[in-house]
Amino acid sequence: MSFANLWALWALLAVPIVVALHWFRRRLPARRVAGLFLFLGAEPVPPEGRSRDRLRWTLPLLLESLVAAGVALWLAGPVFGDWARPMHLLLVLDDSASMTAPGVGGRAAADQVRDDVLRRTEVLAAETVVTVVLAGDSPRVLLGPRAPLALLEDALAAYAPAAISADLGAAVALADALADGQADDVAAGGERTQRVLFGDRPVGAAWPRWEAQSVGVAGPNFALEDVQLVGDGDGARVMVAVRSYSDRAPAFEVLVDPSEDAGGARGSLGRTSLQVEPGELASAEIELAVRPQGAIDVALSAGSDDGLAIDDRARVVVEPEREVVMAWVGTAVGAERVRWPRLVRALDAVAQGDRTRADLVATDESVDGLDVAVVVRVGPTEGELRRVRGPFLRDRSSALLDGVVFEGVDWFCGEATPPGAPLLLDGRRVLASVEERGPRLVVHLNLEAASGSIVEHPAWPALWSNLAEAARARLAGPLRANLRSGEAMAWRLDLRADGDRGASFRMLDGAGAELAQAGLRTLRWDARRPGLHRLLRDGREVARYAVHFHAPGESDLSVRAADARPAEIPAPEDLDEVADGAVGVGRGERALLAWLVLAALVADWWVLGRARARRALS
Amino acid sequence: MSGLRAASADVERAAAPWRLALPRGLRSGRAGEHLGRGLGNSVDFVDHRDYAVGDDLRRVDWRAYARTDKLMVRRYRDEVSPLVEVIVDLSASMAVTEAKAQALADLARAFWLWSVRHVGRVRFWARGGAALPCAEGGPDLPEPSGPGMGPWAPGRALSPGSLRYVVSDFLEPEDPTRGLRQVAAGASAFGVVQLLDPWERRPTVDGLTELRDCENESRLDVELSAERIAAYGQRLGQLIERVREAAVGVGGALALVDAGPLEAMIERGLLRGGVVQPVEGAA
Repeated sequence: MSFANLWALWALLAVPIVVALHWFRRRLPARRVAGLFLFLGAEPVPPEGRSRDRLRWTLPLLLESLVAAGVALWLAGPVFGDWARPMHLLLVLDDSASMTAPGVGGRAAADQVRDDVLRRTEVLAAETVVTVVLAGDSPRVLLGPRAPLALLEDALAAYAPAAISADLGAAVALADALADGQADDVAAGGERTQRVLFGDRPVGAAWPRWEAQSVGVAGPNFALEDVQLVGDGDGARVMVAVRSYSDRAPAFEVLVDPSEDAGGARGSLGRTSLQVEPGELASAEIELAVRPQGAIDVALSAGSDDGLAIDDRARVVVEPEREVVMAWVGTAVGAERVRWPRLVRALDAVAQGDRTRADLVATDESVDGLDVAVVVRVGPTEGELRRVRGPFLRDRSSALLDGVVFEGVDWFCGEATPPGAPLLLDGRRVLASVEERGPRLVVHLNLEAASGSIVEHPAWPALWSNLAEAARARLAGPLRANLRSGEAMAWRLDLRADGDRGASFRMLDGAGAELAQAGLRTLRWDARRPGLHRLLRDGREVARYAVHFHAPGESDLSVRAADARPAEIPAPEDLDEVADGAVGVGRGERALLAWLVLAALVADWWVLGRARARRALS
Repeated sequence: MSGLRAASADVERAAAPWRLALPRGLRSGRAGEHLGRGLGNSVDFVDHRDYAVGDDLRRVDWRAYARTDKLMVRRYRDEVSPLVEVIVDLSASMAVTEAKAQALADLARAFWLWSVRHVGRVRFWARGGAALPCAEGGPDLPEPSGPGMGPWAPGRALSPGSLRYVVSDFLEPEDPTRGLRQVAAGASAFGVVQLLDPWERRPTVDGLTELRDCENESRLDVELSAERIAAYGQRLGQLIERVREAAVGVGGALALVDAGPLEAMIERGLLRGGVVQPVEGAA
């Protein structure tokens, strides 16, 4: 049974008042006699004093209690269960990770919501239909639309909040759309919709058509903000950053274990102690003697000051080697002018190779016919050479020039403008430009390398490092193996005939569920749930992605609250009842209550009148 | 099956030394062996009376006519087959307490025993109602219920010349004289047993009490003080006296009985009221 006006239930206090009136009413020990008329002449006992005795459940007491309760329920506007009209129960559940933190009563808020929902449905008619929408970073339909009530319990068993945010507005809009889409059925069946929103944040005044129920409790928390696994010779280093969302600064430990270790977090690979000042970020580094071959688990042990578990554990894998092969395909003189061999040696994760397997080729000749991911042409354009000195005007939106400083550089360039979008300019002369040719990136350096000081300047290897990274980004395979939840797991296709062309890819999350794929050249899967994901190409595993939870908005539990708010304006399908003055209330239930109250009043009047008549007779 | 049940063995033992006190002229014996007090067609001559139209001419005493020149009719004593009829008040007041209800059941069975052993036939009537069935062990009394107001005589006519007894508490405001007169009309003997619960005879000082009438649920809050009880006793005494006068007025007697063990009810009530007498030769 639900109520349109919960506050009216205060009127139920009239019931104990009625009981108290009867209880405190003067009562005497009773005796049954045959000759009552022989006692006539006795004055009635004066009603002085009140005695408290065992309450006698007389018919007037029961009837008057029934009247009081009936009036209170009538005011509250009940909608009864099994014999009420069929209902469309529309639920929006906060699916964000903070719902797993303790809520009202010390249990996880999600568990509390699950129980609350099931308790509400106990009195609903069997014909009730249910729609459950989960409010994560994007809304998702958990059950329905308009699924049978019997399916609700099983659906709620799969309710395991882990999203990095809760877009309640989107979820409410989706749920409303699902309800409104059934408007014809609603009108035909006389059905009403009950909208209930469950979360753990203050309910506020948004979505007044919805009843809002919040079961959160504010509390402290600590979260692994970032985790990096970096190879270091034969060993490795784990770098962690921990954020405090607490007003206390307890000491805790960071433990590193193999992910295959089923014994839980014990720190078998390494451990360290850490203390974070309230509201601050602290970092620590743990050295591993042996470089892990598989994934490792990094866990935070913060005890009772830690409200949320999902942000205390991160699974990390070793980033795959993504070496870039660079080749010079121009003249030998040109290679010497750009200091090619020395340049390649200076760059990290870069190898020298031939053009057939190169990811980046450089030339001082024509770029036509070079089918490589990144092509760099080094040479002046047509026209008179001219020397310019840095700094230059550059396109800051391009990553190709990140961190490259041309201060004091002497650059000799041709007069003509190279093709593509300008990257670097001096006045009207374009010193560097970039053009996209299908999947290929072609960079033109309008440079006479034999002159000037650029090849000896620190900006020169920095520029080539960026070019190598651009080539690395175009390598086939996984872009990054360690990600935060909410980021995309990416796999760049190798579109060569002997590469990934025509292959079938499937991404499975930690629970074995397949994720939806997007992208053409680069396949992407949203990493919504933390854990280790596996990418299968034609059924064979080709990559692993470790996703760890990171959502400051969820880790900060100080903003949670327990609250409740009834629906403040009627749903559109209830507007006809508004016209009748029965907002959101079953008219049948109220009429029934009214008749019950009236019948009880008449019965009470008749019983009392009969008793008075008997006294008068005697 | 609900109803009043007498404590059979105890009643038989307590009733054994006693018998109904029959009126003069009636002796114990089998049917036809008793002479009634009324006049009838037996051969036992009593006296004469004047002839009236319709009298049987065969009973005209012609010898007396010859002596007195008046038509006289000879009268003879009735030859009766003795019958005991007991009218039992089955209003709710007769079961106001368990002791009173049990006493009523015991008395009814005792009347049945005395009747079948020493008189002959017996018939039980509900007050103003139908005959009550009698089984081997005595009358089958239903559970007393309902109000006690109304006529006393049964719905069907009582047998002329029967011995009649009324058992009631008479706790009602109406004067019983008229009703008892109707019951006693045509009886060869008549007795009234007024059965009261001990508390009804002598209420205790209970202080403030809510009294509920067992028949109509009327309520009265009273303080059962000594003065109040004295006034009640005075009214009860007046009522008992009214019943006694009514009984005596129709040629009967009143036995005032306090509900309790049958021996006590017999010795302190029925014997004093002349309803029973010891069996000759009983110890």
